[in-house]
Amino acid sequence: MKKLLTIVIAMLTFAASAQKVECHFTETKFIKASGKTIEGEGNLKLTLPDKFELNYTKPAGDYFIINGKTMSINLRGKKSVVDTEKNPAMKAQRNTLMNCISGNWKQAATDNNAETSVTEKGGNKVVTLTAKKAAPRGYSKIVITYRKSDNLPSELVFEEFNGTVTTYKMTNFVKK
Amino acid sequence: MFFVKIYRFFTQHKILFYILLILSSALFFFYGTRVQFEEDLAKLLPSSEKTETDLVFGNLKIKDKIFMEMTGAEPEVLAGYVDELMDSILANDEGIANTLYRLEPDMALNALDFAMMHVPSFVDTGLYARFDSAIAHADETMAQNHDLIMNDESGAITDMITTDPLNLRECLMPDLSSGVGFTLIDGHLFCSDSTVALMFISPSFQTFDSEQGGKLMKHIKRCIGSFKETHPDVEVLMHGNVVRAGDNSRIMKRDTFFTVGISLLIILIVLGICFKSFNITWQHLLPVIYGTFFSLSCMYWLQGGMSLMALGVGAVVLGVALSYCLHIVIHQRCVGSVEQMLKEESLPVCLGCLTTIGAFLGLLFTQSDLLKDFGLFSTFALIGNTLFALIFLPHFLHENETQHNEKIFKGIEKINNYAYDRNPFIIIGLCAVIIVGIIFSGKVQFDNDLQNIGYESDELHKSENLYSEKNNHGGTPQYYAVLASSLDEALDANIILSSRLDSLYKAGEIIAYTPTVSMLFQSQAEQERRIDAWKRYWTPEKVNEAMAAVRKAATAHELSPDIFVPFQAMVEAEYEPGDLYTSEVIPEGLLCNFIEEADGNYLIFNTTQQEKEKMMANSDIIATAPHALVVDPFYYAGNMVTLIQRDFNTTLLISSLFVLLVLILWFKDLVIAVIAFLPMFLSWYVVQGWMAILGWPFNLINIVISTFVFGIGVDYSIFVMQGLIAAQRNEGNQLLENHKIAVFFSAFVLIVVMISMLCATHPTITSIGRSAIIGMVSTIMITYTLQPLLFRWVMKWPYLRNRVENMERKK
Repeated sequence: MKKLLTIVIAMLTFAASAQKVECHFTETKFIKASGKTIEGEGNLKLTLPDKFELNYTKPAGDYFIINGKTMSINLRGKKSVVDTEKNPAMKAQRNTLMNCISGNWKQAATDNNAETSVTEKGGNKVVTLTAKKAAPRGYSKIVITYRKSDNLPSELVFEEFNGTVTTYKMTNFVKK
Repeated sequence: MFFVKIYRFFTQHKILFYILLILSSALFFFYGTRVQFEEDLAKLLPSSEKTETDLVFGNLKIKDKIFMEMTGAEPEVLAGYVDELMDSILANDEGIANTLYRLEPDMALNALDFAMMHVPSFVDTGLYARFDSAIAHADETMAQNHDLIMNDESGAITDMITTDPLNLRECLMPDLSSGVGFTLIDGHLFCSDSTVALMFISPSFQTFDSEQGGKLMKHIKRCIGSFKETHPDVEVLMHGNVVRAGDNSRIMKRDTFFTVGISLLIILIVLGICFKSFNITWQHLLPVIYGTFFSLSCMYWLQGGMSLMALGVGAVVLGVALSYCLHIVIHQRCVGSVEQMLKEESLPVCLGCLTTIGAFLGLLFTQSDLLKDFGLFSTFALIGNTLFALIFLPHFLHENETQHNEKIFKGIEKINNYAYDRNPFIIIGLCAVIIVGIIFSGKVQFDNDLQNIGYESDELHKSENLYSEKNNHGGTPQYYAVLASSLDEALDANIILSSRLDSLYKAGEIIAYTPTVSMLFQSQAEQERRIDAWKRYWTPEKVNEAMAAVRKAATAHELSPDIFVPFQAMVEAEYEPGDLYTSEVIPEGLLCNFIEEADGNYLIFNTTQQEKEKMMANSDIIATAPHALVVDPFYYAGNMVTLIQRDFNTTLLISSLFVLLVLILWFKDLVIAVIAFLPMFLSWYVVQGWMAILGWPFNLINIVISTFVFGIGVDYSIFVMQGLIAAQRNEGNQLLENHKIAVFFSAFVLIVVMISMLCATHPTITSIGRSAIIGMVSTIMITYTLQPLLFRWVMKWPYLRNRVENMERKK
């Protein structure tokens, strides 16, 4: 009960005090099929309630931006803008990401038909969402590590059903 | 005496006369200028056949699409240029419903997403045999998968392969190979060899809305003009029905203006010189102008609008109208008395008008709106013109005004008084021409291809050829559609249509067709059938068999067997029917190529490329499928041409009988009536026969000239017969000579108009000129030669001679 209260307070504190957060991130995508690892890094910006940006410095110029219901992507120069209202898969991806990053992991679990488990590790809270059933798309497992102090996510791990794992690590948070 | 009484009445009541003249002129001008003009070639279609085709040809956006091509630079450069040009065009999007020139990147993502959510809906039940084969060839496929995965830099291809390791997507693809492919470069549409960038504009109006079409064409051409100034190395071409209609309208207006304008100018100058007075010019023009606006007003009151082409063709009738004015004005100049002129001319002019109207009214019996428009316009124009010429014009003629150019008139009299009917060479020659005409009349060709009636500019022709060369596999595009009141009904009907197209394609009867619609869109019921088939196929045993094959092959090719979980999840997932049409996955500019909703009905299109020679036979096969339509007004028109032709023969028969009846009633003698009837009767056969010999085909437009030949032929013969009868009754040759002078000037006027028509650019106007000249020349020659010859012969019969000599003088 005490733990839950702490989390709720931390979330409320985060929501009330940090409407805008910036940090550095690293991205590691491990493709199990080929054994390859793709790495990237850049700056993350989160402006609640619905703006999220990954601006890559490596590979430079790439970006992934959620702005309301629109998702803008620049992948090695290939740009696209997606209206997530017209694309259920993209909408699911957007909602999962926004829910995970803003601490609303329970909604992410419901949306992904996943079981949840919460553990504590050092000063962090680790939330694991495990899909109840295999699906053609989506994630088999999502692991989110929140800092207990301010409930900000310090690490996000998305594991797909084909074994591809993408890990984001966030550091140097600046609250604005 | 009726018109003489009116003349006397208005002479005594001048104020009333001017009030009536000004008020009626103002009224007809006011309503005449409100007529809406249409340029709908489909109006040539018989009305009774329009229940379904009306919808197709009237409301469809697909047929109104403007095709634009840009070429002359590297593809990447062209892609940028296309954006630049389209941005400038879309800066003012009035009249534009949608465009298609690039596919937004999210379209592919959205489409893939939709496909993943509704996989079974896209799998035809006939494809499961290929799935079995794919499972059997898992090892070979996995070898390719291994290479693709190892070269994948982003993980996107790996995602695709782990969801579909057996390459089942390839099983669906062969169906598209028969279609026409476009290449995408930087998201822009290009032809398959990437040399030509393609742009499609769908107007928000109908092709034959000439006003809107004209505005849009002007805007696009202005944008292209500005674009070319900055990019002179690039060529931009366009074609399509809207472009064609715009060109047609422009050329028709220009040709009508120049042919009628210039010939009118020549005629009036010549008449002015002949009569030493240029008063004669407006004396001829006023009745024609009055008649034209009278007719336009009647068209407005009756139906609100009329075909522009009917007006263009109707310009010829103004020549007939001018002919009546000539009779009145010239006769007045000859006799020098308005009352005497009215006594001698009013009845022949009325009779000529009545018989000509009879000929034109025959067109009302046809089922073609355009021909009806022409018949009505001509009838009203002649009525208006004749009324003005007999009621108003006499008040502008001066008593004792008889001046004329003696030299010219002597020359004309010499030509007129030459005894053509006594020259054996002329008689034999003319008879030979008539006999040859009659013999060959049955061989005259009828051009069924209504597209030949329209004008096609060089630029449009070049654009069509380029598009065809790059995209149509050397064939001609032909659309087929199914039409139903619900989308599901239409989609089900489209299955039958697609299977017929597929059979024709496999039999080599069509060069290519695009089965996109039948692949992408299925009815709810069909999707449910397909989902059931999917479930029946992917039984647990089949899933195990497939997964075992995949795992074994993966292991053999050093891939982890665990990565194919998404594949198993895909085949085991629960699916529901989807609605791609309303999903907004496909942009409107692309979607309207497949499905269109019009007036609560749904149309589904299938595009084919065919050899022109096989098109009719193929269309005949397709058209019998349930709910099927050939999206080509000319296909139905082509079928209807025979009907209209048959219609027309009936019309001519009705007109002939009407004219003969009027002549019998007028002359009260069958033989005299038949002789007066001969010029129009024989000239029709001469026109047909000589057009056959010269290889000039009739079409639905120039065939109406037969009515014109009828009208003018009967006029000339009435006037000449009046003169012959007067001469026979020893009343002198003056009436015959006066009438012949009027006939001469009338023929001169019409031949000048016809020759000017030969100089026109529009093929329809030229074709009218050609057939009309043959008709005119033969009519005059028969009137001047055979009519007096036959009259002279029959006058040797005492009984008839007595009848004619005792005949009541027509006044």
